[in-house]
Amino acid sequence: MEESGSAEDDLKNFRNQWQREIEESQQRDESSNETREKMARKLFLEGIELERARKYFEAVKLYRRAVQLEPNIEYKVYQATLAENEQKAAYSKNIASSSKGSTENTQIENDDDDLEDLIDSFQKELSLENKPICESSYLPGTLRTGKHISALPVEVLLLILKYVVSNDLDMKSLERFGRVCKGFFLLSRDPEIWKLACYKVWKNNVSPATESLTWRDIYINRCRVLFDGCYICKINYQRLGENSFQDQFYRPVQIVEYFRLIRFFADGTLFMMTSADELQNSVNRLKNPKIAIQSREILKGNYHYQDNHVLIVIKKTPSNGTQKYKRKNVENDSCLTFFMELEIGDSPRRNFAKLSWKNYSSFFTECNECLQ
Amino acid sequence: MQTIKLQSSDNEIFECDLAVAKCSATIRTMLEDLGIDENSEDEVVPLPNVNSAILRKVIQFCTYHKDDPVPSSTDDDENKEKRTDDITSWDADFLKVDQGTLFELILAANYLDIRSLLDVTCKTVANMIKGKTPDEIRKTFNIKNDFTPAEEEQVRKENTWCEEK
Repeated sequence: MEESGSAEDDLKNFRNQWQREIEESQQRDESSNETREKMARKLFLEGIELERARKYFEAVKLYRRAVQLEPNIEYKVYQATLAENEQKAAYSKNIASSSKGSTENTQIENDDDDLEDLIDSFQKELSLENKPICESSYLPGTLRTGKHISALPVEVLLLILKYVVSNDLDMKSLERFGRVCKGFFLLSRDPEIWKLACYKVWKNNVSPATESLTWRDIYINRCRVLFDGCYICKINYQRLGENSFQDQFYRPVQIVEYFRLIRFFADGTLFMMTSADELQNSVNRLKNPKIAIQSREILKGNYHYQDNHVLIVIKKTPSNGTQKYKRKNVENDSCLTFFMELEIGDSPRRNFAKLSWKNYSSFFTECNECLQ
Repeated sequence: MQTIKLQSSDNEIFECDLAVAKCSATIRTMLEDLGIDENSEDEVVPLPNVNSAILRKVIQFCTYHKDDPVPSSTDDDENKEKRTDDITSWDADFLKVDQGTLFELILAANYLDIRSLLDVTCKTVANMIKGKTPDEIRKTFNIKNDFTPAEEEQVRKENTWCEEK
């Protein structure tokens, strides 16, 4: 009996141990699977980076290793980025509807509620306490002659703001005006002003504001070119200089550097110039439109939007024999038309502050033709 | 030449050309609605919202501009091109006044409904605002900052989109 008992015990122990081993090995398998996938994903992503950097050979190496580890890795990474993009899209939607330009992650949710309150609370405060739109900073009792700006009625203040914004859509001055005091903040958010600005930029090609998306949101977030300042592009190329007679081995290479400047206006027109001059000088020449429009070197054109692209048409009319260097193959009575397609992008410093080339073409037309 | 008598809030009486007075849409409708006989020389139009100093300025402005083409009434706010750099040198000289007077002129132009005067005065104020920082605007117009620090910070954040980072 004793023997059989111990034999049973042994059997039991053995069985337990066996089961434990199986469980452990399964766990190990799973975890190794996980690490394998992680490793493969890492390799694959690194491969993508390399491919973007145009190091194709190295990229292919990494892809191959990734696929060896996990044959299905491409699909998995694709699914993951898809989910990520969806999240991002939902997130940016939130930003757009929260009617604020802030992109700080942590602030957004808290500020959302605050924002409704800001306009509402200022409105309530001003109407309940029957306060003027702004308060004088004079101490009470100071002797003064004449009126304070707070004496002006709201409709006059709004007219003034329309002039502040004016044709060149100087929304920056309007926004700064809104930071003066509560009353001015409310005035600066007047939907009418922002609506006019939207129609000015996109003509009738703009869907009206809604409860959650104000005219101001549309103006701030929709793709467009900037009107304050100009877009500058620095271009350089190399050209061979003339050989020296004495020293045949001396071959000078010259680097030619010049700038292309484009300034957009809210009314759909633009100025473009190229110049090898000091950059500041060129910028100054574009500053005053009245003077710039008379300059021969500054080309005038029109533009319009197509999604996030801006299409530019510039016509260069012939100069009436005043041009110094006439190219032989260019007929004097033809005009040169440039077509440009630029994509609007964001720079790290500011939204919509970058334009990149997409298409460029130019051709000559008979002047009579273009007059028709 | 037909004239009309205008009485300021401080009871000074100004006699001016009828054509000049009719620059004001308010006076124009007053004359039409009240049926004031244009021939009766003794009729006086009271303007209780405008004092004599301002009324003198307004008459000066209207006398200079009385022959300007009248903007058609279809030219409403939205369609009109808005610019602030087209103030003529005469108008600019005329508006070389202190800020209080400028606001009184705006109020008078608004009350008397003189569109050209209202436009040019509002442009002048707009030019005083354009390109200034909030603090400079406060100093220019003597305005009290009534934001709490938290509110001010939030408004600043909401407006960062137009400033370079």
